[in-house]
Amino acid sequence: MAADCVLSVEGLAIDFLTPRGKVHALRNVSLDVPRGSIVGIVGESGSGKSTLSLAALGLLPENAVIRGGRVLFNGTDVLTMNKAQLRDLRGRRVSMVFQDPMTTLNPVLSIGAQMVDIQYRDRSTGAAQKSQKAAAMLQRVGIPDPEQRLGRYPHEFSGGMRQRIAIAMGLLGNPELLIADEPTTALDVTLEAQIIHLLRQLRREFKGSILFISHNLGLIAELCDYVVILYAGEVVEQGTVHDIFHRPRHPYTEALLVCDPARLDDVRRDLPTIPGDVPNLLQIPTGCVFAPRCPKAFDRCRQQQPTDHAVGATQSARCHLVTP
Amino acid sequence: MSAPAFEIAVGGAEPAHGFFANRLIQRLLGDPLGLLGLSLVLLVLFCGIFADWITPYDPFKIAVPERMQPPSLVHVMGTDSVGHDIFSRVIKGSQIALVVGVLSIALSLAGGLAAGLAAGYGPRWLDNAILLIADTAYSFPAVMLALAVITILGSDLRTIVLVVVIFQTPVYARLVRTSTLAMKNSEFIFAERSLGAGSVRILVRHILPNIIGPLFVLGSMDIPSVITLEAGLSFLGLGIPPPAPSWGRILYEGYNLIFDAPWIVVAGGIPLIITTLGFTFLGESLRDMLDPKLRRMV
Repeated sequence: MAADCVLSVEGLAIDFLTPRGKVHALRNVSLDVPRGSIVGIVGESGSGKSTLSLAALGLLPENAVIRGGRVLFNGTDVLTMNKAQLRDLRGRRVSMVFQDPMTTLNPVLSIGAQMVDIQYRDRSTGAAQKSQKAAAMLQRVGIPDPEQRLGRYPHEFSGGMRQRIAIAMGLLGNPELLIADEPTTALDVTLEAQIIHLLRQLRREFKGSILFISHNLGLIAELCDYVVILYAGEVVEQGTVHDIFHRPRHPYTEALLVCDPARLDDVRRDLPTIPGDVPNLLQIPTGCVFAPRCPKAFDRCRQQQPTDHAVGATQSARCHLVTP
Repeated sequence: MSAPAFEIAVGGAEPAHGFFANRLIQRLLGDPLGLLGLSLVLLVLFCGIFADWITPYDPFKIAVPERMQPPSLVHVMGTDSVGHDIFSRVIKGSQIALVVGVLSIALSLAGGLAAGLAAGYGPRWLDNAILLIADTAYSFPAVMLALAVITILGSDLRTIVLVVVIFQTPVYARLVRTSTLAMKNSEFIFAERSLGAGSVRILVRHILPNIIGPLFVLGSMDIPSVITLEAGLSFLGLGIPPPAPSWGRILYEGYNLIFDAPWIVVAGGIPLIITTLGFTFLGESLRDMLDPKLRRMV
């Protein structure tokens, strides 16, 4: 894709060791986050969205085994960084906003204390300046009266406010990349729209990159420049928002678009679904991962694993049907 | 290449930040029960610190002609079998009670906090080792442990403090460990790590404030029970040796003379009750203050 990428994942493969065996959470995943863009990652639960974002921060759980690949942040592999390099990366270069704003803030510290504390790396300014900066950032993310709010505790804020605070905390370190892991899933629809609006606004004003993880296609279409479709730990298709939503080439992407309730033309009693189940990640079937559920599958799909095929300049799909 | 992308201009008014301890005291004064607890604790502290100046008589002075006098204006709490002024001994006894209670609990809290944090946040083997030691110490019955240590080391103030530390540290260590484990896997700790906070910062700035409140409360409520333990040991004749005026010893002497001089038992019991109530009320009030969700705004 683009030459100047903040984050570029190359052939990443991660297993989790569990009592029941090795879970092949990610297999041969490659994607790029071009500088200044918003990249959306779409996938069902368990498709590896969160594992991918944790790998980008070097925060994989202890039972994760990296089988191959690289996660390049500005050209440096995150997976081989030492502890000091990782701490320098987190918060200052990459920040993350989590799903549930009710649990991501320390309940016994005022938000001002937390926002000042997280600026500990900045030794040139005093506490007063740090709390000024915190207040300015709160103002930035749309919290009125920020100076008064700094002394308040997390439980005194609503979910939407807390998510704004979490975003403000993430932005305090001036990161080049903000990873938002389903930041609106725990919020209701009105707040969701506000948070999305805020992210767009922030991108416009700050020119940072955002990796936006969601299972909501509508949000992805509205917010993102590029879309990566994950299925059972593999990138099945990626491209620009226009490519994916107007010319999907992978049957899974097509099925996802058909199933999106927001895109249905008529009111139906039964929502369309994709028949079958996500494959068991302990034992990956031979051939294409989507073959057992794919309406267009043929013999070759069940025997041979497809490789990534480019479609035009910006789109690629991992499907035998796309073979040129 | 790596220019800050999400930069922001600094500006705006000075935020309103109150001094934490100041606000805590303000809130404490607004809570009647907390205020009562604080006053009782301060009373005991005052007696302990100024004992040598405020006792009406020398607490060690034996005056046989004045023995076994019931309470009067001359001897507010009467005298005992050798003519000690009991009121003076009660005041002087607060020193022993405070050293045993406050010092030993403070030492136990510090030890328990360090061990518990290490066990909860450190590697698995360290956790197992600390847990093994704590369980071993905890499995001895308190009085038996006290008897054993006192038999080996002889009974004095330091031995009593040592016994309490041996017995209380594992209790706090286990509590801290459990809370740390629960905190360690909580989402906000993960969020802090994702923002680049290191282990020490997470322990000190984020885990500690979350567990220090309950621990503080537990400690303040344990102070009276430790004082009672010392009283119990003195009652068994194993406490601080005479003529030191510990409250337990006063109780013990009063118990032997309960039909002839009932005021002695009463005089030994009153300071225990005052101290117990004081620290318990203060502890309960502190618990409400330290938990932001229960906190009432002043």
